[in-house]
Amino acid sequence: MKVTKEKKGMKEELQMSVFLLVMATLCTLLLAFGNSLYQKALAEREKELRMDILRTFQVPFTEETFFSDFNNAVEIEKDKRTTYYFSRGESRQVAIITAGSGLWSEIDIFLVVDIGAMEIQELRVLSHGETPGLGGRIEEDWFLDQFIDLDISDGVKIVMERTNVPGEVDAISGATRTSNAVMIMLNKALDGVASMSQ
Amino acid sequence: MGKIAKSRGVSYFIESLWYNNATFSMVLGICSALAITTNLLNALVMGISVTVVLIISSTVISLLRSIIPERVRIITFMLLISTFVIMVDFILKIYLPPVSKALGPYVGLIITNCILMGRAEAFAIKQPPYYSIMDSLGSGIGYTLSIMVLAAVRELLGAGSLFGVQVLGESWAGWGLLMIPSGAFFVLGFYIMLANMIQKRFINRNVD
Repeated sequence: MKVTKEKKGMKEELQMSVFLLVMATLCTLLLAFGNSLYQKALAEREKELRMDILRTFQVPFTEETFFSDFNNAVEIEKDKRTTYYFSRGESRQVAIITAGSGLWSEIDIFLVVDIGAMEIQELRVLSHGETPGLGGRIEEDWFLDQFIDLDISDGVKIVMERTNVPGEVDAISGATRTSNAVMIMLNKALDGVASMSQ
Repeated sequence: MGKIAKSRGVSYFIESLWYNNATFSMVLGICSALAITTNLLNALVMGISVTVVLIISSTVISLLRSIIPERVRIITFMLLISTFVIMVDFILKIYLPPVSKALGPYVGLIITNCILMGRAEAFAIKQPPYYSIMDSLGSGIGYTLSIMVLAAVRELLGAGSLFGVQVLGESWAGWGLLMIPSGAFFVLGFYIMLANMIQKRFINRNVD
């Protein structure tokens, strides 16, 4: 009597283990498939970004020879959370992708700097998760357009009120910490450019 | 309303959509409802994600209900739900990267959304797939509509826009309070009060 009970318990436990094992394997396979799709999409996105960089550097390229075109035209430097794409051509330009901590989230910024004139030519927020309507306004044109052709030889200053010192832009009211985060990120990236291009 | 003959599936649907509305009646899934309702687009995407995961997981659990060993059913729910949630997360990351970033960790946290475990344990494990699908469709749409009405108020008054389109004019000064999670508590409390009043006053319901 006792033996059969034990046997029954053993059988039930075996069934449970097999069931969980099979389920876990199926789920893992599904997730591996999902991850491979995601990695493919990431690689695609990276390539599109690199094409954008070549376009801003005005380097001609073709779809087939893209990798060699890119490597001939661009020199990549990495520094912690920032990647610099220096142009090897005549125009002394550098494209920068930098990540930094905002108030809630990681902010990714793309910018193109003219090293000769020390001016920002292009500035885009690639992604962020800041408060919509407050810090989230860093992606709006009125904020980003302030940086274009700005004299940044002394870095960027995001201020409440402008005082005619070069390099100043208006902060977003109600989003002081996000504004400061953007300022810190940009200045770090620009410091990097200054030290690397010498 | 009660007199009209309804099929069982439809009545399960209405039951979960309105009488047992996850957010306003049962106050489940509040964490995400407070966090992501700052604008309508995020709320819509979140609602659809939850609905999709809910329907898939309920269907699978309902189909497997006879072979899921009772003692490990909760682990099985977790395993299935988390797999489907991560798949939805991948899909959002691939096709809607900005929205995915704005939702942040809350897509992953659908796993711990009480609505999913609740419907799995209370309904799907006992009922055939058709009823489970109707039930989860009701719960999912109920959740989506609830967070949409929350988001509508918050986005309209907080930013003056709906779905990112400015409707209250450029001069509208946003109510910053509504944009932070504590503002969501006020709106949610107001809606729960409203839902209770409607249910008490206008619907004489025969409790079975």
